[in-house]
Amino acid sequence: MRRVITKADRVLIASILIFATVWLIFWNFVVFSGQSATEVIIEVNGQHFASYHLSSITEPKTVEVITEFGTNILEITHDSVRVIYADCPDKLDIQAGAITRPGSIIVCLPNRLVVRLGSHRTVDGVTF
Amino acid sequence: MNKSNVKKLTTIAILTAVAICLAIFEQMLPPITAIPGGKLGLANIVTMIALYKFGGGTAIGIAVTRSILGSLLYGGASALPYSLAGALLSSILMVLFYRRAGLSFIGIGVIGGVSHNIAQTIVAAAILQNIYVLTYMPVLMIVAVFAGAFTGFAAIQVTKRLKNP
Repeated sequence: MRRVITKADRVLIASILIFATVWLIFWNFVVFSGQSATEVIIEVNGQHFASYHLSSITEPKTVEVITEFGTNILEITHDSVRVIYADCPDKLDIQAGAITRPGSIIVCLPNRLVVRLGSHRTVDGVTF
Repeated sequence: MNKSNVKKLTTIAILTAVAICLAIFEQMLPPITAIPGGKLGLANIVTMIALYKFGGGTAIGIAVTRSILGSLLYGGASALPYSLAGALLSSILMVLFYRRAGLSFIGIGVIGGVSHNIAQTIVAAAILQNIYVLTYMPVLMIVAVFAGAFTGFAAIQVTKRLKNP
């Protein structure tokens, strides 16, 4: 087969992959380095909806997020959060499964929902 | 309207229909990632074919028409801002880089895929008013590199089989 990929293609592909990898490493291993998730923060349409300290969760807790944009039901455990019900068409937020790492997010675009895990230090630094 | 204009108009209409069909077909496939926007972008193949056969203006026109009609047909009106932003930025950049900087369609496909996701993610962060949405960007970029290279390869296979003009 004739080679179709050019040198410029390879440089472009490598540059984007390196850029994205450095970003991922920076976010996960520098910004949230050595921290564990301590808080679930639920935001809808840019507004704070609710937040929960994971240390206060002893058994799985169900949280209903019902707003003008739609309905999602979350399940929070002592170290994770996942979406167990969504009335949006694609259900990508359910397929995303549980997140456990600080800095991770679950998004439901149609319902304008962002669920994210924070670590206490970061939350202190940013919010207060 | 002379015969070649009619032929051109018909071909563009068919290409637009093919792009919409590819996007609908893609929605039936299981998603590559659970991240909104992480997909193959098969309709990009049509943008590249239009670019090859008719030039930049037509390619952008098809991408924008496909985005608007596609959103109305299957994505719902709420999907339109993401789709339109992605289609506009990606088709414009693909036109700008076409036959420049030594890039083949593989590079053009990568530019199209990655810029589509960058535009969508920024629009999502703006609509949701939540900067944390950008957390998805690096993962989406990596998916888009492979998806874009695949669509570029497909475009090469199609265009080399096209009879000219």
